[in-house]
Amino acid sequence: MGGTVTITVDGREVEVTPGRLLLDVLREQGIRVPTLCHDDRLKPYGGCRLCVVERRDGRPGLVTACSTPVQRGMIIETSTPAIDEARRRQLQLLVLDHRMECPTCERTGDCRFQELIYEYGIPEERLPFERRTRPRDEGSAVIIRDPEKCILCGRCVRLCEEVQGVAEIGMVGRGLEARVATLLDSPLDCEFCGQCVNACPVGALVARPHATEVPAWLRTRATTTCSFCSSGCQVEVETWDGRLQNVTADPAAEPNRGKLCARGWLGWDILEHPERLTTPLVRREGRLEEATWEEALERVAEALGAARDGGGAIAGVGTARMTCEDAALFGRLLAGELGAATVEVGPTGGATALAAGMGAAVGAAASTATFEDLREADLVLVLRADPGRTHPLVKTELVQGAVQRGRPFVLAHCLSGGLERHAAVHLCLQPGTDHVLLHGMARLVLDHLDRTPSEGTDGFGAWSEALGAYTPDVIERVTGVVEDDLRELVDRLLGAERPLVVVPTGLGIPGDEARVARAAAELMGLLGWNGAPGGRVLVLGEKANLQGVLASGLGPSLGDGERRHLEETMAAAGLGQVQVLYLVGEDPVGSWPRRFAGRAAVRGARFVVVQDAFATATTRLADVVLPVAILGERRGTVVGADGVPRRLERVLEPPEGLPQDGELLAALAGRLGVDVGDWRTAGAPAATGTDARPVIRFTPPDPPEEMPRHSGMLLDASPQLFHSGLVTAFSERLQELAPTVAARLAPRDGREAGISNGEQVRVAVDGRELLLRARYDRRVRPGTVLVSWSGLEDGAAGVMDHDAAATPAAIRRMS
Amino acid sequence: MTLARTRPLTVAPPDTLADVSFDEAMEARIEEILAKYPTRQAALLPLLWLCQDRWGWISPGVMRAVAARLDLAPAHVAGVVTFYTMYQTTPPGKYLLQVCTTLSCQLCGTSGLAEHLREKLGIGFGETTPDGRFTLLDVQCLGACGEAPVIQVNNDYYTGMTPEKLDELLDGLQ
Repeated sequence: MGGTVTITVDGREVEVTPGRLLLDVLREQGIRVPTLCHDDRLKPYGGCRLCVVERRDGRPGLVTACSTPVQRGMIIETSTPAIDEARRRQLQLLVLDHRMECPTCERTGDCRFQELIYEYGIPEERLPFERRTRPRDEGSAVIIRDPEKCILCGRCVRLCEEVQGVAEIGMVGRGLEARVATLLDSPLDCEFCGQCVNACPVGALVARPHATEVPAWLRTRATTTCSFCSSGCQVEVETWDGRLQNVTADPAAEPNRGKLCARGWLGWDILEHPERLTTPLVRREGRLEEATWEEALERVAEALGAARDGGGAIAGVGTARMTCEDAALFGRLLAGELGAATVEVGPTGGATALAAGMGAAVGAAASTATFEDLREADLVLVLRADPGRTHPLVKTELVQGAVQRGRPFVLAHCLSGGLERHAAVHLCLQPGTDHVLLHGMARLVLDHLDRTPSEGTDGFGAWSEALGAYTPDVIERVTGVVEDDLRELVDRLLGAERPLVVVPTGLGIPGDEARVARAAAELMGLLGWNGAPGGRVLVLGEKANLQGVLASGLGPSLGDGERRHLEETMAAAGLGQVQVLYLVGEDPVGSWPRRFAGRAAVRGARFVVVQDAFATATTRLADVVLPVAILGERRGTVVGADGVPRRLERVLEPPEGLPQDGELLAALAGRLGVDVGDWRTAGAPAATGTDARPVIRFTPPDPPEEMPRHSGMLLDASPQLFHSGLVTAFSERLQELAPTVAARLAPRDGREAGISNGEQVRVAVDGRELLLRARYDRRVRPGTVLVSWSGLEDGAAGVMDHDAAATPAAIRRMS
Repeated sequence: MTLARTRPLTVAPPDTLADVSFDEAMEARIEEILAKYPTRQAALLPLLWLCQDRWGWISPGVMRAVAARLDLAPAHVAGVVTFYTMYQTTPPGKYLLQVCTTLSCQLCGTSGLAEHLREKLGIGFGETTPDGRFTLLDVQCLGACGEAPVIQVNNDYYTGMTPEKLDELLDGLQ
């Protein structure tokens, strides 16, 4: 291969790579070719026939540009009467079965079909055909389907299958009977990612929450970075009169290429939640009451000033949702100017994985992979549960790789939100043993390498020696992965040129994040010594800007990688030894793991300030509560899980002109008479992603710990799709979609425990109980109870405390 | 002597096909089918055929079971089942009378046959007799034009049909 061929387009010679699609080549030449069914993210389809052009060589005639590969010597005309006529006829046929109600249609002014009819016109003669009547599907709370407007381009069906990997809808029937339908015409029960609605070239799919009577041409459109997770998706927010009208995504914008997810598409109703805080609150005589900004800020400034002047301890904990600028300002004010001993990001699994895990292995609290690397990788190992839910963009990349390009991925967790169907290898690990598997793989990889890092450098000698204990039979006993499967995995890894490991994180997910990330980076680094480019590690941190806040000064002080410093600070607060506890977007009382003793700390600290957008368990105990702007009401920089900085733009005005975190901190600095610089430009970091060949340091692993034998069950946790924690808890739309948290167990385990499917059960962990409904699920690993986690007390996080190992759990009937 | 040589279909009632699992014998057949194809998706048509052979038709429950067995999405399976006219999506009678209505058969008298069947059985195309014995279907070319008109009953062809031969055939199909 390689080289180019010459083709002739409209009389001009063009050099192109053979095999490329004619449509792409023509568009590159600046030639407009209309399409309805084509989507760059999908395999060629050739359904709508509007992209026809004339071929003059070979077998002359009209060909569909979208599905015709270029060949040497091709002669193409793109604008002839025959082409126009064919397009007009095709539009005429499509119009026949399309209910035309453009003036009142949701999509008017933003409808590809409408535009093309306007451009080409349709023949006046009437064809003897009666439009089919078909009922609208209004069974879903989110998406309305109107088959009478559907032109059967199939983009929704193909996106659902090829990109989202769900295939909730299919093309049913044939010929005139063909229509888009779910199995049995049941109501949509899917991931509600919005891919279908946004790709529909007509008004056949409408998002109920974004239904608007404001036509497209009156709406203002602005781009910002979605901040529901750290995928860094670019979203287009449409507003009118300052109010949100629609959320879409541009198929040409990286990293998401037009893809959305339920949270980024629908979760914007949090902005108008009744518990949204819009007025500062101040505690007066024991009661939290509304106050003016002046009073609230003065109280905080006084408290901070008194602590500074009197040598009282100040502790600050910020959320990974803060922008880089705001986080930098937080650190500069509290630690730099006021002498706080603790200014850290709140406890997240991602912070541990990045700071302790990647920090130890590659010397930076960052992933070594970008989303583009994920796309380009030729083998992906997905650890833990469950990237499809915490980072839906990652799921689509895995699905697209597998379905469209045959790129395999390996799934370590039993139940990974719909990814199972597309996995090349599905391991079903014992929960919390991912790092053991990685060590076992590294041990086998060592046998195959011609060249290894020299002894004595970077800890390699001690590391490789310690790996000796991770024999295949140990791996089998600890992880449940048998030797044949382990060896197959290692063979695949050695055969790959660009392997990549995905490390999802989240409080409640069993396993030690730091050890998993470190072991992954070591294994991927080891492969690099063999002359291959080496592998990369993508750590999926929680919240929008974890890598950014870590790089902006909120990195945790690490003892043994377990956030002991933060634990000690909170313990001190509980003993009344902290004078000011300053919390930005964190809820220690309601959502932190038990070992941090959040409630005692908030009660014990002498003065507690909380900046948050919503009332939480912590704001109710605070001395001053400062409401702030969130999501698209903020501006600044966020760094994605891939280390790429992206802009947040203020696309919506916050209610009551609420300030964002940094503005408040700057205002306080002013009152305290300290200069922290402009809040808008305070230290935005450059890309934090490391080089392709980072320096790897090896840390010898502890000897493998074998699971103590016990007769009970182990608690396993996986994240939820529609609900990821503190912020989504305030989205009524997402809460409506989120299934009730259930205790999933293998049917055999259920029968043995005398628990029937659907029954209410008690799941007891370490003296605490969850009341949940039991669900039989064949995919759950026998011996485990799988509970979905949302970061709040209602899920596994409420009982899981120490997440380094899977927790024994007892499950029993209510009566 | 009777013209009929076709055995009746085994037709599972809908309530038995709500939640379907494959028994050992079927699993063995499925393994044989899977061994012939490079991907699981490619085994879909023969597996559906196997199911129709076993239960007489493809219920939604069967679609779900097939989807689960092949790791395909149920909606995709439904799309395939409804694309091909030879998969039955409602329970047929014991005898599926498929009358070829394409040109060659038309020229040789299909319309008379169809009329005769409608009168005799009291049902139209796409319908089943109340006793569940016959289902009448109009189908496109069965590929036996040389011996038109043709009627396919379950898996057997009956060629050169006349109203008289039809009567004899139907009498023999018990």
